[in-house]
Amino acid sequence: MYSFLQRIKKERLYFDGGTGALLSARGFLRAGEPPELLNITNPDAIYNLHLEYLRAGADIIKTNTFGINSRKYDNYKELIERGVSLAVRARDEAKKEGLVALDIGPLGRMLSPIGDLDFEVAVGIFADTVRAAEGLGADLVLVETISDLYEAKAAVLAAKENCSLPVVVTLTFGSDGKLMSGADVRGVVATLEGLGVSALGINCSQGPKEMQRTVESLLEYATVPVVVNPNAGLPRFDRTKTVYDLSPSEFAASMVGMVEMGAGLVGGCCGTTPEYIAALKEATKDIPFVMPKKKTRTLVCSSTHAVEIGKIPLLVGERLNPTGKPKVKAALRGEDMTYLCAEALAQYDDGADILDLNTGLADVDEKSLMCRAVHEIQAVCDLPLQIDTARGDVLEAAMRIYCGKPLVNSVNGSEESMKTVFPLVKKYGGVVIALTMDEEGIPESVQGRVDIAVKIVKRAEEWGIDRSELVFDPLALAVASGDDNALVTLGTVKALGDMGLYTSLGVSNVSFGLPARAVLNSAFLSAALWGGLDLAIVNPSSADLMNAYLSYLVLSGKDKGCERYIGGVRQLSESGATEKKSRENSDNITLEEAIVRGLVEVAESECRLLMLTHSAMEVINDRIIPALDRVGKEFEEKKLYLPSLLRSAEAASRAFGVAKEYFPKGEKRAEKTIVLATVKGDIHDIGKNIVKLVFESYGFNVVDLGRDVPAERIVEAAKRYRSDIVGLSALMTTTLPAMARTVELLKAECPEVKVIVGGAVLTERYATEIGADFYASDAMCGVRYATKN
Amino acid sequence: MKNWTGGTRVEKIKGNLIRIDHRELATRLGGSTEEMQSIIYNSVLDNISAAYSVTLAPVSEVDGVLTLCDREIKSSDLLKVVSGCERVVLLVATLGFALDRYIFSLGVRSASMQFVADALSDALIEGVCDMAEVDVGESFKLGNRFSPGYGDLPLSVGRDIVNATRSDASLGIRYTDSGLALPKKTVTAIIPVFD
Repeated sequence: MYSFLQRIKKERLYFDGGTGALLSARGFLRAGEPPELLNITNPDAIYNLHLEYLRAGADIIKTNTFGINSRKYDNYKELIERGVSLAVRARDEAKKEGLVALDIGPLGRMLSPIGDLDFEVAVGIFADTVRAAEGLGADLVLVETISDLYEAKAAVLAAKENCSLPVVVTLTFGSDGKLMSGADVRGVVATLEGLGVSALGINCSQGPKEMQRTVESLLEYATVPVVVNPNAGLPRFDRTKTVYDLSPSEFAASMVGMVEMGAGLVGGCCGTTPEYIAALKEATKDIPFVMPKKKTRTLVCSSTHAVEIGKIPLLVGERLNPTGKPKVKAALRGEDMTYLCAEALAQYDDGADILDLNTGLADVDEKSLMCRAVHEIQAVCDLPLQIDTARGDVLEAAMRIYCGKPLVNSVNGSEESMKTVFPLVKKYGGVVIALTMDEEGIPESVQGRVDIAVKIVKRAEEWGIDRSELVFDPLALAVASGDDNALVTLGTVKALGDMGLYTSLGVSNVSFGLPARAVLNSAFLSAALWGGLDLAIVNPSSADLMNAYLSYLVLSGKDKGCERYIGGVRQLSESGATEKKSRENSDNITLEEAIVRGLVEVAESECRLLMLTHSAMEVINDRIIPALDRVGKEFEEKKLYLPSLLRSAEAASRAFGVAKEYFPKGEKRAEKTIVLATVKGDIHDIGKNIVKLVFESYGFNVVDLGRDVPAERIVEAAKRYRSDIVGLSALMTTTLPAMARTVELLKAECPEVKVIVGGAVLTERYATEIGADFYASDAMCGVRYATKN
Repeated sequence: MKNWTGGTRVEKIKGNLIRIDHRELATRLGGSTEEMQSIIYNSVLDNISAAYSVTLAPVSEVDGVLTLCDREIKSSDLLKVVSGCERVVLLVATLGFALDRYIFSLGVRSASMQFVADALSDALIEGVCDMAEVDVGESFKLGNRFSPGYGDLPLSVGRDIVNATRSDASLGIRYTDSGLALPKKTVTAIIPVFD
C-alpha cells in the first residue's frame, strides 16, 4: 500500500466534499448546531457519510474535527479521538487504500498584531489537536479554510513539531486572489513551501469558476501538488433554505479545466455531496496526471508582499542596524519601537525593496529586541525583512515568529555556521546570505572565495536547501586597506554570477577610511550592478547611491519607459546637496506662526535658522512652548479642532527635536518622563498616539509601550525608566477592569508615580474609583496636569 | 435588491461609490486642510475592501424578552425599535483588514494623518451601511438600524449577529477576547422590517 507522499507523486487524488449542510438536510443537526458534536451524539451519521464518500470515489476523507480545538471544547480530546476513529473505521470498511486526513480548521481569532491572539498561543492550540490525534491512524494533516498566512504558519509548525505526518494546507482566497489578511499567491506559496508542506491549495468561499484565476496562479508558482476544493458554486436562497447554484454535473464540468492545468488533488467544499465527488471523478479520471514542474523562482516575502530575487537587482535598506548609528543604538537601548518603525517606513518611502534588521548591541537583550522589532515592523511595513544576527538563538527566535519568508543574514563557510543556520532555514524557510569566508578567514583571491561558495552550495544541498535559496556575499573590503580589494570583490561577483549563483554586497564598506565616501560608494555600486549583482545593501536615503541604481536600471533596459528614473531620480544642487521640494512657502513665516499653522517642514527650517543666533533653551521656552500654549488655549476654548492641534503639535515636536540637537554636550533640559500604554485587551491606539504627540511637543520624554499591554509590563517600564507619570488609555468598557488592575498594581509597586487615565469610555468618577490621580478628558488636559504635578 | 425574499446576501462595494456624510465629517475634521483630506481619502480608498452581508431573520417577543439569533435578549430599547415586527434584517458591514493595517501604520508617520484617516473611515463604514439599507429597502419597508452598544442593547449581541449571518466565513469577521470586532471598521446592526 502506498503512502500519501508516494501517491501524490504518481496519481491524482480525490478529496471528499461538504459535511454540515448534508447532515442538516438529513435532519441530524439542529439549526446552529456544530457537526463535530455528532462524533459523540450520533457517530453512525458521520461513519455512514464517510462510507458514502469513499464509495463515491473519494481517495481522502476528512475527519469530522474541523471546528474542534482546545479553546472551544473542554472535551476536545474525546471529540477528536472519536472523529479520527470513525474515519479510520470507515476507511478500513470501504476502501483499504483510502486515506484519512486529520481536518484542522481556523481558530476563529486573529493573531497579533492584527488581532489579540499571541502566535505561540495559537501554535499551542493547534498542537493540542495534533497530539490528541496521535497514533489513531490518520495519514495526513489537512489545515483548511485558513484566511490568514500567520495562522497557517502557526498550524503548520504545530503539526510539524508534534507528528511526522505530511501536512497539506488549503486557504480561502478572495476574488482578488489574496487572503483576507493581504497575502497574495506568491507570498503564500513561498511561505508554506519554506515550511515544508507536502501540498497546498484553495478551498471554500467560491465555486470552481470563481477560483480559476487563483488556481492558475497557484499552479504557476507552486512546486508541490496543488489542491482545489471549491464550493458547489455560489449560494442563493430558495424560499426556505440556502442552495448552491451548480448541479453535480455542472460542478464536475467546471473542474475539468483546472485538472487539465495540473491540479493534483481535487474535491469539494460547502454544498457538495457524494454525488458531486462521483461526478467529478467520472469527468476527470481519464485526464493524464501531471506532476508540478520544478520552478527556480527565489522569493522572499512579508505577510503582504513578495519580492523575487534575480529578475532585477534589489535594494536592501541598511539603516536598521546600530553599527555607526547613534540614534538606532539609543532607540534599541530605550526599546523605542516607534523610532525603528519610522525608520522602516522612511526606507520604504526611499525605495528599499527589503529591510535589514539588526538589534545586536552589547548591553541589550538582543533576542527580545529582535522579536519585538520583527513583530512591530511587520505590523506597519509591507517590506520583507532580512534578519541580521550572529547568534543562532536570536536567528531561530526571529525566524519562528516572522510572518512570511525572510532573508537570513547570514551563513558562512565554517562548519559551525552552516550547522547552526541550515537546520533553521530548513525548518522555517528562508533565503540565506552566504558569506564567502570560513574558519581560515576571507580568501584574498577570486578563486578562493568561489571555492568557499562551492563548498557552501554542496553543504546546503546536503540539508535539502537548493542553491537558488542562497545569495552569496563576496565581501566588500575597504580599498584603503588593499588596492585590489574592490577588484577581487567585483571579480567574485562576476564569477559567481556566471555560475548561476545570486550575489549581494554591503556597498558602503568599500570606502571606509576615505573622504567623499558617497562618490566612491556609488561608483562601486554601478560597477557591481554591471557585473551582475542581485542585492545591494545600501542606505536608500543616499541620493548618490539611488541615482546610480536608477541610472543602471535605465541604461540596462530594466526600467520600461524610464518610469522609475523619472519618478525617483534626485536632483542635486551645485553644492551637491539634494534639493528638497517643499510645497510650503517659508518666506516671512516665523517659528511661532509655523507652529500655530501646523507647518511642519517650515517649523523645522525656521528653528534651524534660529539656532544660529539663539540658545536651545531660549527657543524652547520663549517660542515653541508659548506658541503651543496659544494653540492649546484655542483648542480648549473650542476655537479650533483636534486636527489643527495635532498638526501644531507635530510642528512643535519637529522644532523641539531640532532644538535638542543643539543642547551643549552633557547638558540636558530637565524633562519629565511619561510611560504611555493602551491597557491589556485593548488594541486601539489613536487616542494614545494623540496624547503621545502632544506630550512630546511639550518636551516630555515619552516611552510608548504600545497597545494591549499587560499591567506587569507597564509597572516594569515605570520602574526602569523612572517615570514621573504613567498614562493609560482604554476605549472599551470590557477593558476597564484591565485598567483598574493596572492602576492597582502601579499604586502598590510605584506609589510615587502619578497615574493619568483617559479614553472614550472613562469618566472622572470611574477614574477616582480605581485610584487614578487624574482623569484627562483630552490630551491638553493631561499635559496641563502633568506640567504642574 | 428587488424581490429579495430571504436568506443571506453578501455584496461587495467599490470604495469610490460609497457616499459619505460631508457635514458630519467636516465637523470632526475641522482644521485639517482639504489637501490633506484629499490625499488621505485616496489612500484610504486604496486600502478598503468594503462589503456587507444582510440576512432576514425572525424575531419574537414574550413578556418583554426578545428572541433573536437563537438567544434571548433583554433590551427595552431594542424592544421599542422592533415593536410590531416579526422579522428583522441582520446587517454586518466592514471595510476590511488592509485598512486596519494602513491606519495603524499612519500612527507611526503622523498622529494627525491617523486621526483624519480614522474619521474618514468611520464616515465610509456608515456610508456602506446606508447603501445596504437602500438596497434592502427595495424589497422591504424598513425602520431605523440599531446596533449593539446603542441604549441598553449589549455589545455582545454583535457576536451573535456575526454567527447567525456566518459573516465570519463570508466577510472574515473575528472577535478579540475583549469583544472588539475585527476588522475594526465593522458595524453590526438590527433593522426592523415592517411587513
